[in-house]
Amino acid sequence: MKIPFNVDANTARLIGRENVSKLDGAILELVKNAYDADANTCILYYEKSTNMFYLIDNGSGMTSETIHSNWMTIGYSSKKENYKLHSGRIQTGAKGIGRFALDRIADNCKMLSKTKTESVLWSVNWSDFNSGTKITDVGADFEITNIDFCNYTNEILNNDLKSLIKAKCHDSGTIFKLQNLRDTWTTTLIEDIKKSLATLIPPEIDNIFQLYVFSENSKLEESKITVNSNDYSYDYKIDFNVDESGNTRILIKRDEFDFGNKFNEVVREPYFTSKDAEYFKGKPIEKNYVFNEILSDIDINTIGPFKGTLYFAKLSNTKDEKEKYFYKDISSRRDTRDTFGGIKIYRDNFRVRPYGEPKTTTFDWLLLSNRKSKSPAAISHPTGAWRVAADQMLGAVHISRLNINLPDQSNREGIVETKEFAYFREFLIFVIQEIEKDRQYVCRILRQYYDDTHPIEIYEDEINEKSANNKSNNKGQQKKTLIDAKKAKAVIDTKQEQIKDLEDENRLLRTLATTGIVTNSYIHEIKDVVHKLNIKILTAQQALEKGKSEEHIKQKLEEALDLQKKFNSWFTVTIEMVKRDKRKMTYIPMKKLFEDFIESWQEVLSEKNVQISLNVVETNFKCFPYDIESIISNLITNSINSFEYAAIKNKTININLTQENNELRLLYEDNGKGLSEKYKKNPNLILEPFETSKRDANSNLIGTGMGMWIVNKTVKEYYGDVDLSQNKERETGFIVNINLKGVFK
Amino acid sequence: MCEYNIGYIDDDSSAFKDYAELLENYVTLKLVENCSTKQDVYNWILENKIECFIADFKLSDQYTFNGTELLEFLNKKLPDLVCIILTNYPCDSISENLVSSILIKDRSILSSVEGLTTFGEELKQATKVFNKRLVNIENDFNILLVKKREKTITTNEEESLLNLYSVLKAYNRMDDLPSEIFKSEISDKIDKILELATQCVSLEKKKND
Repeated sequence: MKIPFNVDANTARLIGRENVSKLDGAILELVKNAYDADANTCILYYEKSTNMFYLIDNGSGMTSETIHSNWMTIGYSSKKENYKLHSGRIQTGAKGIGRFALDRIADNCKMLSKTKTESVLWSVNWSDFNSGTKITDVGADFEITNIDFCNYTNEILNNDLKSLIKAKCHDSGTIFKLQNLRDTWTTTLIEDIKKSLATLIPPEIDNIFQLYVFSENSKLEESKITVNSNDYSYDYKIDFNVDESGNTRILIKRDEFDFGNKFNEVVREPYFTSKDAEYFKGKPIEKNYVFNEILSDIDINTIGPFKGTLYFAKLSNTKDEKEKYFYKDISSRRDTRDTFGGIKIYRDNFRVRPYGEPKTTTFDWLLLSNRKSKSPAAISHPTGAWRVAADQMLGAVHISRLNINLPDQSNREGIVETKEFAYFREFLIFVIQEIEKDRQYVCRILRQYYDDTHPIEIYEDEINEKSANNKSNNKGQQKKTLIDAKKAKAVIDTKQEQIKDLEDENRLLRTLATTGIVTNSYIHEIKDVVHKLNIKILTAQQALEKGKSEEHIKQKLEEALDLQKKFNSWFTVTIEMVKRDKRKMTYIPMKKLFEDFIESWQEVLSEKNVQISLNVVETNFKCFPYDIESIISNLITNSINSFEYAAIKNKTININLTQENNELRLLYEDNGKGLSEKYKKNPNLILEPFETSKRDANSNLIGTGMGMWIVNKTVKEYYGDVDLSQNKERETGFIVNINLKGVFK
Repeated sequence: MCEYNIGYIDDDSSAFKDYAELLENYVTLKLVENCSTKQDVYNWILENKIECFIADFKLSDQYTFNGTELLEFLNKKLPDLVCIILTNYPCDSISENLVSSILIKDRSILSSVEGLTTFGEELKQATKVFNKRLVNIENDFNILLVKKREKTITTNEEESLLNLYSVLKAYNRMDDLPSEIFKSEISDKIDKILELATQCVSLEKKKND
């Protein structure tokens, strides 16, 4: 005996939700369904007064049979096997989950679907798909009806929309009425949806698929989604038109580059012409050809008139390329290749399958990938020809019944491979070459501009190249590998500058790490202060509400202010160190720096009952203030941690700073627990990264082990050293001698 | 003052007054004072008729034990008393595995009106649980008392009887009972043996005389 499986209704719903999680995704899914249903009009309508959403299309509609056998079977898609419609349009989806987009939008869904033979009403409450119910136990209401589209939408308040439905929806189509919407439909949301659809649907399908987004008061004109607008993001656009005699007009539009405020600096002689400047600003490049200039030896246009629009659109570019070629930002460009990609053919606005169909072998029917693999040159290659990749091109070529030499195959599965069809393909390749030539022209110049403005990279390349040659060549040819000293010097200078930048960055990162260490060390205290501050404020608020005495409330607020002061003192020791003025190397009066810095610690130290004795020489030392502060912060933090471990009554830190010749000598000691046994024999081990003996209450190691490593690294920057040898003899307490070399004033 | 008595121990008592004020509509919060050992804290709990107990995790500034260790001790002595850890660092307390994480609360719960309401109600409910369980303790005590009177009580049960009595007495559930009741069966037997031994010794003495 076999036992059948079943599925929890909610699981089916979740699968749908997985695929359609966002509102704009759900809307696009339904619009695609309308496109797949062969509609030439698709209308979205949100009615504020009733909080209802309508989705209307004049596609082929569904019969009761289709609804029973296809629509009601989750995961079933007729598009898997039968992806061509009567019109020849190729359907875009194939997963059979598009209907769950309705669930994403609203809880209640009613549908009127009309074919040439019958009309059906169908409705479902998605909340019926709850956990615990088997999918086979969930039903949708279904009935055959006589109602027509106009009557079904009679309650709609927008008259323009009613007129449009009357004009466009006759014989077939589908209307969804969605209630209990899951989102709050604001004007902004509707505008966002309009914008999103305008950027997602390529302009080339505008003639065959018109999309409207209505709201309650919107007029017809403003509701139409103008997909031909500039919203569609591309890099190059090329329009071409061939008349009966073969005269060809090509318009190329560059929209790939963004020079920002460098426009006048880059787009100028000797790099670009004044005409180029106009082209970059949006003027199309116009080219006119007679037929045999395009197809050699073919004098007469036997294909007939045709036209089209093609787009070149990259999907990514590297930071390096963006800098070199001034590519505009395309980070927000969405990948819609699976739906709208490919170069498609339309005959009298109806799709001729299967050309340009995504994810099929006929997607690249112009064999652009072959061209690319034969000539893989980079865009800036001085001699090689750059070619577009197949997935970077999309667009539409429009032919008509008048193109008799491009006849449909008898099985309606494409165009007969006549010699005219071969010419036709050759022609399109020529058009694509126009984009390639122009783009390569621009990019070669931009590469030249980059090389001119970045000579060091060229020199570096030369050095690397000659070094490589030197290894492979014999000694007799060594002369050829000599480097001009000036060039080498320029490269070295640049590299040194880069090293200095990296050193500065490193220094800043060390200081930030110290900030992190200090913050991490005192995070318990900081959290405690924040908590107490919150409690004080809440107590004051409640006291106020309970009508307690003014004096009581005032006392609570004063205590809150004290806590705030304490809180600020933590911030001072943790954050202040990285202030901009502390990141400049200059002559710093050491006494003042130490006094001010210890003062900022004072509040924190007195909280911990730690006394600091400071004895600092009056001298001006050239340094980054935050380096010195970083050293002291790390040492103090270690001392405070050490005091926590030992029950010491008089917690003391002594800081003694003297100057000897060109050296600054810091003697730092505390009377804390001292180094742990692990480090007593070899104290220098604590200068290694990740060395720590700090443990939490559960004896877990919790120190970062970076503090003394940072101290040592910073000291090394001043050609100094860290002497920990005296700790070997000490039973308790910590002592370190630090020398910093430098310039004094 | 609310009728629900909550004990609170913290080595830093600076927030105590605020906690007590914030929770005053729900419970009466009492601060543990003058205790140095865990047993001291237990005694303090009984003396103050505490019905629910809150401890900070880190008590090291004043005590030789931390909050979770104290709660472990209290749970053994007074299993029916709900004991809660209130800390800024719940993770540290949880990682010790001495107190169930359900009973470890982040102090931030007291930083909002909503949290305060929830926590106050939870404390109230905990005291109700304790008081209801005191009835059960009373029943257990009576069973053991009967055994005691019937002289069928074991040594462990006798010890338990004394513990239960001290708890019930502390929470005014029991009047003073005659001290005879609590005289151990064992000590009775030892007394009898000693009496016999004394008699034997005196008899022997007489013989020798």
